[in-house]
Amino acid sequence: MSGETGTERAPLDYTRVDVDLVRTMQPARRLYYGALVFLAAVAAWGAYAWSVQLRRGLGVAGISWPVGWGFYITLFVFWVGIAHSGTLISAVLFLFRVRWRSSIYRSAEAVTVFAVMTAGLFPLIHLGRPWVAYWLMPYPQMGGLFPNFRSPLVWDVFAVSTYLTVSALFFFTGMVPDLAIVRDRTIGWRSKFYGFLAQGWQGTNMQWKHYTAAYVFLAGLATPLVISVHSIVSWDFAMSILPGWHTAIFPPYFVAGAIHSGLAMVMLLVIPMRRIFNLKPYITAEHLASMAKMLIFTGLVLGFAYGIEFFIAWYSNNPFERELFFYRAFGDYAWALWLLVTCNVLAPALFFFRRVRYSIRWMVGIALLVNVGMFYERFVIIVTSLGRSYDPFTWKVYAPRWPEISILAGSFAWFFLLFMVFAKIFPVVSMWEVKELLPVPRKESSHA
Amino acid sequence: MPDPAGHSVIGFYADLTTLLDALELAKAQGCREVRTISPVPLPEAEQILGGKPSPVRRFALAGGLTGFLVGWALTIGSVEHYPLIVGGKPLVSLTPFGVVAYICTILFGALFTVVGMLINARLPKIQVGRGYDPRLTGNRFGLQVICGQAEVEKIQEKLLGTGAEEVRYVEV
Repeated sequence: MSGETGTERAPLDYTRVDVDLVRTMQPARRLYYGALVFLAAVAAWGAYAWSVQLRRGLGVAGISWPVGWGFYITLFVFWVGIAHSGTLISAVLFLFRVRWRSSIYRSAEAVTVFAVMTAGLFPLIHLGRPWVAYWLMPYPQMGGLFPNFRSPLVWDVFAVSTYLTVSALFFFTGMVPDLAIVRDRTIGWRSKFYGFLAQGWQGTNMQWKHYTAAYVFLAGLATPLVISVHSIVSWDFAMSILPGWHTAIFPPYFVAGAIHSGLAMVMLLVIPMRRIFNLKPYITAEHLASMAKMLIFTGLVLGFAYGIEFFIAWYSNNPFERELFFYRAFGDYAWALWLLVTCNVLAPALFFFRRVRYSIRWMVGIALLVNVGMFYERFVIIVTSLGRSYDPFTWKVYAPRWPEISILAGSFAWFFLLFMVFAKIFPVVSMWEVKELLPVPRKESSHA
Repeated sequence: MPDPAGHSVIGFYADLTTLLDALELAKAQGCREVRTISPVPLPEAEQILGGKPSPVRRFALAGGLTGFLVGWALTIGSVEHYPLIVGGKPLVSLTPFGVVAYICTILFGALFTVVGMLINARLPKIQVGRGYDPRLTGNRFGLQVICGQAEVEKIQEKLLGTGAEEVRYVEV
């Protein structure tokens, strides 16, 4: 970020950063509350659908043998994937000292935390008896029986709960100096509220020293999670022996897909936020174009992975693999496969054109398509392999029923509701890191 | 009113150059304790102040090692406690148990890092310290010199002489 923008009147300085970014937390207009009510209503409808499923049993959903993992596990993988952009932007790009991350990472981290919170609901929703979900956790019980640590499903419990914990720590720790700024720029109960959250932060050299050291280590610890969490999610599938699942390409393929969808979701949220809060000097067209370039990269990786999957099926000469991939391309769900290829590979390739990369409308459209495509990618992987495995006697076509579709809508509403509440209560751009990028006020001297 | 435990003077500066000049002067004067308060981290001030690197790294290492051991202890301990062969695999299956140990390494490393930061930065506090000024999270840099009562006036004059916009006496 430069100290001056072409579109704004005055150059950025410390005072203006505080004023501009604290202003985003002013009381909202009616439209905001209207949107909150709408989202809460849709989320409540999803909760109602789940309550129906709890009362009547899993039979009200479309999932049944052999397709035991339908929309719910598709959505679990989708939301865990969405979470990956936050850690990538906040931790990985921090370690690589990428300057454009500073304006975007706070929103990306919020996306991570809220997406993992949403993802965590789906294994519970998918359980017939969610009240015994704690059986998945290793706790000392009377029988002395622990979970089976050889199962990738148990690794997943550890991976996702660790991801939520570390992301939330990183998210909140990064915000502490900004909460102190807000404490000092507000009055009354707001000042007390932010003062409580800021934990007495003053910005002494001693505090900064330990804070910046901790931040580097948290980034260093969060970085392997970007790779490992979705690798472990992919092992939920790859450790089985189903055609289409049992492949070594899954971990990198899933990680690239997760980053792809997460970046698209961050774009979808940051672009309207930039306009509504007038954050153009902070989130510039260059920042968005940088994200678009990353989408090109992840889109190409995915294109390669899709191609390699088909190549392996053909080259392995395994009749079950060949049959499954033929079915994926030309069977009942062929429309979903070609849709996901179009959305995930072809649409982001349009960002090769500079005009598209700098067009807000194109960006929103492509980001939307990528999210649709990534949902269907997981849908195709899960449903086709389960519904078309070794024995033709077991083949079945899966279709979701109203509780699954309602819960899908509810999950999106729940996620956007959390993000909208966050955007009004907390600084959406890291103030102290934006200030750090600005030229420090200096006079002519030996230190200059 | 009880006597304060100590005395200090805070100078407010509009630019970093003047702050660094004042900091060097205060260090040269042999002041007992000097600290900066600023809206952003100041590596140049940290260089002048000297001191050891943050011990947070030791907390991160200790957390990582603890997590690594906890992961192995949990997985191996559970199968030793209730030996049950699953899927024909050995009771102590090192590869899958390594995944759990790896995740625990990261989890405990992160938790210990945050705890280390809180302990060393002396957080959380119910309230900010005495003499704290909201401008110091905004657009001003502060230099706080802890001193004896007899030195207060002299230090106030010195800080004003270095170009401080304002100098304030604060009990600590």
